[in-house]
Amino acid sequence: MSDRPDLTVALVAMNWPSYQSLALGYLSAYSLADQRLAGRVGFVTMDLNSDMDPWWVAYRVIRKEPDVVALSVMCWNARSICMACRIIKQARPDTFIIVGGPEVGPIAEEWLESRPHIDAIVRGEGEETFAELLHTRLKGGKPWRVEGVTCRREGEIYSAPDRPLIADLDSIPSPYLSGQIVARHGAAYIETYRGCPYNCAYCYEGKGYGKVRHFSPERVAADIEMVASTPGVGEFSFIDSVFNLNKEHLQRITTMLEPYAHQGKRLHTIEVDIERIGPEEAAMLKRAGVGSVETGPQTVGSGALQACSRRFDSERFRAGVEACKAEGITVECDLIVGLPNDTFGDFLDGLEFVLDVDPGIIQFSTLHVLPGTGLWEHAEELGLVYNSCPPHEIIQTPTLDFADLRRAEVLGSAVTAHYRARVDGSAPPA
Amino acid sequence: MIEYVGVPIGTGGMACCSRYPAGKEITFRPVAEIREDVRVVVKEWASGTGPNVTLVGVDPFKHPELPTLVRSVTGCGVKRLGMETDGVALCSGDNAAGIISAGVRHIEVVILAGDAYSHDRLTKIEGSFDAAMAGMASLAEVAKGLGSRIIVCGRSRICRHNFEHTPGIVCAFAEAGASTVTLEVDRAVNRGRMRPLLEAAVETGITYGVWVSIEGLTEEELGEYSRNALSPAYTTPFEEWRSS
Repeated sequence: MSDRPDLTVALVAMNWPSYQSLALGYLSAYSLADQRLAGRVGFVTMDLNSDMDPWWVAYRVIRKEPDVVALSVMCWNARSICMACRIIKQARPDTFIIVGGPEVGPIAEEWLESRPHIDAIVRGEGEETFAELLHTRLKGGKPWRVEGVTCRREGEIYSAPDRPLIADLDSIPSPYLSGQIVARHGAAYIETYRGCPYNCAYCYEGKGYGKVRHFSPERVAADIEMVASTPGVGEFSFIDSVFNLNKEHLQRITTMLEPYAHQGKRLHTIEVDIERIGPEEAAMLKRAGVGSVETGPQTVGSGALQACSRRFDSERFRAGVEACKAEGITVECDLIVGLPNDTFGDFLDGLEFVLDVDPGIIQFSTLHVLPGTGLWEHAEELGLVYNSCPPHEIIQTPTLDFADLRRAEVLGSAVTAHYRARVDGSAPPA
Repeated sequence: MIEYVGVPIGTGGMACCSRYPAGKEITFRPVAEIREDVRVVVKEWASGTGPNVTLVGVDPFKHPELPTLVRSVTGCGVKRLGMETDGVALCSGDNAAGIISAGVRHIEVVILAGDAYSHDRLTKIEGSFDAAMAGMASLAEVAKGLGSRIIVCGRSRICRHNFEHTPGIVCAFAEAGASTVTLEVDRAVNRGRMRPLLEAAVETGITYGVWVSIEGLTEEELGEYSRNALSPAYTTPFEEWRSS
């Protein structure tokens, strides 16, 4: 007699090394809390690295003989995920393959058009839609009737209406508290809110998830306690788009984190709006156990800042970095090459600025024109030429031609390599 | 970009083309004198990321008191410490591990051609090209083992005897893992004949992901390659830095 549930679901993510997928934890936690699914659906979670060979990803999935495979797609893993899906579908044609995530949601119909091996796409926030889709699957219903799903309806690609965002985030059980994720040292992330108060045109966060919605302070405190108390976890982080969302939020989180900081628990690489950090805020970050923060400026070019709806005040930025450094907090400054209106000169100005600010870490990357972002929507009018295949790297702009972009990439890499080669500079632990 | 102050540790011992008349006799400055210069740099460093010092004037591995010298310099509080070498000594004994452990993070290796036959002929030191390449590989391996972030760069002095090797030099450095290659062009090199070779060198660098900096030519002479006058890190001679 088999003890298999009515529906076996394999959840697959291919993360950057040292990341745990919070998304998979949310999906399984939400579905298992659904009384219609409890006891009838079983989950196998495969939290893998993005450098893993798609053939071995497919092998691991196929060996579990799942009825449904659901994969989280980001720009950096889309190619590998696609290949794994194709192999899975060919080996087990009856497997129902679902994908979701910011890479696919905004261009769901286009994705299905060219990928017959994928059965359904969950658009936008996934928890509720995914659970509904599993329920529909269990009862033999039509997936195209599920809000937020794009799939094939009698051979034609069809998008059901959008599903509203989840109003009460506490209705999503915590992956940590429900036991769906066991926190790992350095790889565990907590979310205190969704959305972003800013609307930077190159980012999906502010546009895709709309206005800021919070988890309750009680829920956040419980998550922190669970993660920080997990044996072996000395370091974790937050996935929030801006950790210092406002002073009250920062104060509240600091109060929650301070007891754990006293125990030696540390936070790494939280994203902050550095221009809103003064000595008081930096001291709060320190008390919360923050060891390093990540911030812009992304660019200092006025044309690019305007096109990306970003503000930049060099003096406030510099003051924020100094405040963090005074508290012993390492600052990572990020620059993006290839933003609209930026010239080679603007790129050099950006490099000179961050070198002068001397934050500790300088990180520089090439623009990716991501689906669903403002730049994606306005790419044509901005004259942005980008790779239509993920990860959608910029190819050229009206102000930076193909050759200059490549030159800027090489120069930027050389400068950052020079910058980090310091007497006290050690490589991060493997 | 990132400024280093070139503090002389001696004279007359850098790798150069042997077809030119022999340089000055090799001399070494005492460690105490060098340390005083470094202290000045640390004390008077005004702004930007630093203070950064590079040891110039003679191959540091020829300096009789190198371990003491490096410890003394890092002890003054410099943020970045670099040195220029022909690379030959890097694969000998514990030299690579020694300088990295002592705090040297920026190593610039000098070669004169992109292949062993031509380079050794120009330096008149048999085996020096292979030793330099092995030295660069050894540095990278040792740094990885020690968990230290270092940067290995290439430098070549381009004269009328080796300018045809320019693209090959960049290629050799790129394959040995250099992040940046600096081409120091002698004023006596024929500009017309040099230009296509410099272009090839720059483009070779880009396709390998290596930035090629060109010194010794004006922006006008560099034309569409004028951006390659930029260097991620540059060295200002100590006296010039003080007077500025």
